Amino acid sequence: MFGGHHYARIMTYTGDVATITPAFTGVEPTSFEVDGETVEPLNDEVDGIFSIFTSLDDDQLSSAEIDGAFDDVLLGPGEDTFPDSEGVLGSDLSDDQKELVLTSVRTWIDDFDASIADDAMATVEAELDETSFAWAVSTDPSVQGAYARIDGPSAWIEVAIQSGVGGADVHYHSIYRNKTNDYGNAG
Amino acid sequence: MQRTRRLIVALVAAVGLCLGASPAGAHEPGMSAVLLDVGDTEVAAELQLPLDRLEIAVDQPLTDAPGEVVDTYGAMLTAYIGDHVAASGDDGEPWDVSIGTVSLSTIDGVDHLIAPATLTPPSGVVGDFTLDYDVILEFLLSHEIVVATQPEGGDRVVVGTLSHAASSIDIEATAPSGSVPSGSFPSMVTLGFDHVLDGADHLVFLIVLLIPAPLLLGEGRRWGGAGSPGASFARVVQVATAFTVGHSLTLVASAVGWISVPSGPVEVLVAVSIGVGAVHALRPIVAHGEALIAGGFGLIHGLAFSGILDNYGLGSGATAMSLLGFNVGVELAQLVTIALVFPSLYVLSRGRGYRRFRVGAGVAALAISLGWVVERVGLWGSPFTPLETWAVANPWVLVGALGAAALRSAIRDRQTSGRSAPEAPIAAPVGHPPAPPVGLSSAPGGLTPVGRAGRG
Repeated sequence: MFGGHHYARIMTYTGDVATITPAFTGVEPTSFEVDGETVEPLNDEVDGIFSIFTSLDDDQLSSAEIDGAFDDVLLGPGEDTFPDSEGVLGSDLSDDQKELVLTSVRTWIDDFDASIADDAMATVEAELDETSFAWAVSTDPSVQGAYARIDGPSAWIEVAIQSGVGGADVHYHSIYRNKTNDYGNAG
Repeated sequence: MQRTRRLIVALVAAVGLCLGASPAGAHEPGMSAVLLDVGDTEVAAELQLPLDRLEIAVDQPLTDAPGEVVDTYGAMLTAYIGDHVAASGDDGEPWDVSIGTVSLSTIDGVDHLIAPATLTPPSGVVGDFTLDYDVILEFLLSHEIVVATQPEGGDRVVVGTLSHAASSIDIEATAPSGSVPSGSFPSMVTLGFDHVLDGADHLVFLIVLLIPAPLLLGEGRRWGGAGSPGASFARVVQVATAFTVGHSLTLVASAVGWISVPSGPVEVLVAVSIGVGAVHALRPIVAHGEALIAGGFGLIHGLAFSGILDNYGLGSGATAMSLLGFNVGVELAQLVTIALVFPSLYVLSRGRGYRRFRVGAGVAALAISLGWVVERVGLWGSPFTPLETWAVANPWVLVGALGAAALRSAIRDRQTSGRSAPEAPIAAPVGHPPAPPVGLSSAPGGLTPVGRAGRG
């Protein structure tokens, strides 16, 4: 386990089983320069997950909307009760939309070594039809309060667009968890 | 034990808070707080709602002009809060919830709306209850609410957190003294003792009945002069015994399950009993009927005692031993009170100022009992509550004041009797014109210039 204000990873290794969640990643400002190079650590993740929702048609969009709002990720520290699944199901998505989902999830899972990531991606792909996709407030990640969620039988990903604290308009919080194997509990 | 328990609770709460904080130290979200002051007859709650979260839930720009929130949105917010707070007892009966006047306050530099709420059980006695609460949370699903108990002037103890995972929490109604008896004999003695001394109502009833005990009966339904020491003492024993028999009967009867009376009316009748005792102190209702009143209303007080046992889950099915223990505790408290109060009353009754004292104390007790009746019927709060709180917290001041008054009276009497004795209250004033007002005893002009002359 290691982390900082906007970063917390809890990884557990039991024999040859690796547990890579919970993984909390956040960033503010969302874009900054290091040695003259622009760095945007979470833009791929955030843009990726919201691209799923902007691709939805009106019917899908309304069935994916959560009646409520979020000022942070729901399954943050100390919170281990996953709510009932809601939103639009993966089985209702087109092939193109499914591709957006896999691309999005990969942005989180590819943080890990391929020996771990490949297995994790295979599970996400196998469970895709039973995975729910939901949003709240806005599907535009530049809007404060915009919220996106991927809720599968095992994978759980949330992105909450927070108000800016350090002068910027918004900043990002996200969490990636595994319902069946968090904190090494399936090790 | 209690200190240890508190420490453990505090430690658990502290550990809970540490776990609740992010390992990565992410922002502490603007949580709401619900502070509960769990009383005997109602729960007073203070809801602290961060304005910037509340505005998301009610979809109004509250933070644009925080100073105007109460005037502009007060009614709407009060109604909204009322729709999202509920409580119910173990029996599932919903409690009455009323939201008081909301106000704005800054907590840790953040604007909060403060809403007082009163949760009242239909039974009139607070027992364990479930709080259902989703103010803000019903819409802002990531919101969290910390729930704590905080008696007025006491320490705050976190009892749990409400979130999307759970929007209700069970609250245990703890004893006013803070200790939960195990049901063992010594703990029950303590409970009985503390209960009588912690609340003023049983004591006021007892004392008001002791006031006329040292007196002879006058003519025309009035109190007369002082009676003999033997007769006075006998009457005190009668009062104490009658009260004991009365409350023991109903306490046992309800503990065994023979009778079951809702506690609301019982509490009102306890207040009424003090009024009856007060009237009796002013003018004898029944010729030396203190024992009769003590016994009759003792039955009512016994029902109230059984309600206390119910609060601890010791009501029906209480063992004979724990019942006996509780009763012994009640008796001890009663005897201690008599031992502390009656000698002073007896000495005072020998002096000529006793009529004033008796009438003053009677009127005061009558007023206090009316205050309690009004409060317990649920009309409005008793204006004497601060006085009651003070008196229970400072019993020695009262006992001391009474003793000092008795001493002064005794000294003055001695001085007076050395000069002239004709006004000594030995017998009822037969044919003393004109008839004195309310319950006048044989002591016309309780404070005569002669009596005060010696005390330059």
